[in-house]
Amino acid sequence: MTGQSITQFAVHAGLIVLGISFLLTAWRVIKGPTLPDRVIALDMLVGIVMGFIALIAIRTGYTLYIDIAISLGLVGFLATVAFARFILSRKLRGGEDGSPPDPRPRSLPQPLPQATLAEPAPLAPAPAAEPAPAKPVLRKADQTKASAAKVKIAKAKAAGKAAVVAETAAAEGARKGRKPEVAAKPARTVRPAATATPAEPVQPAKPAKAVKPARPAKPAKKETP
Amino acid sequence: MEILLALVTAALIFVGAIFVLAAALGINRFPDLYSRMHAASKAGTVGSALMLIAVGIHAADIAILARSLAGFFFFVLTAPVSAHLLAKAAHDTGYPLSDISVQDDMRKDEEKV
Repeated sequence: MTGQSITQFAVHAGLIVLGISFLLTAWRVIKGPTLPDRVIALDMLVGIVMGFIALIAIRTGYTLYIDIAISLGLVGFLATVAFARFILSRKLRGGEDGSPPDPRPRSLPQPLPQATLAEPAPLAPAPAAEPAPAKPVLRKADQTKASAAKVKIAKAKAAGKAAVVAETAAAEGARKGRKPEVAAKPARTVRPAATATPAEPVQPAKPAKAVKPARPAKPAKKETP
Repeated sequence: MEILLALVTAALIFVGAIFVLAAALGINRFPDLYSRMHAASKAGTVGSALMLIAVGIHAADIAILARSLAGFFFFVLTAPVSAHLLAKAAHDTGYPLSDISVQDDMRKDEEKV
């Protein structure tokens, strides 16, 4: 009997102390100036609730509560890890903390768009001309990357079509029984037209179709007789 | 024997409650995210883990003690990992240290590189 009363007294005292610490930690969750403060306080709250569950298990005698505590700890760990990844992916908001935020994450992305502006000339100036607040710098970088990727794709398509046209011209020249030199000349004339146009990603495909079948046919007829 | 078991259980509960209270005080009193994390991840973890062990000892059953020890080790192993991950994420994002902090070694490494 005395042993049970001792444990009951300890459980009551522990519940009171845990309640006080729970309120203190909840105050940090409410007050915490930054998001990581709140996240670490929530992690602490999970630990305190595990203590609560353990005390309730002692008081009621249902030891199955231990499994609930273990699963709660697992959930709290996963939640903290997910919050850490979220904080890592999210950029620091200005004025979230009382002190001025660190200038490093904002000063770094600025030279990047300028470096990427030089290569994709036509599409990049439109997003770069907008005034640059701190947040969407990453999005602009992504846009410039996307535009560079589009230009590259357009280049690849134009080069591929030029190669195809040159091959078809060579094949036509071979069908007509002419010399292979004739097939080489239209290939030379076509390729500068394809490589000069990559500044405009969409257009070179259409004039290339219109021009290329016409050009290799004419010089082939003119030179061979 | 029963009284001894009850005394051990009560001692574990008291010590765990004191640890948790110290962690709660530290998480309110410390000036900085990175120092609050120490209080939360060390003292709070030990407090809850001691209460889990108290459950196992109070039940006086080997299966329940094994489960409580499993929960103890799981919680003690995962809490520092999550706290470290959170601190590293906050430092990489650029949350500043408090004004009274003396040294930031990770900042120096970044400047060197």
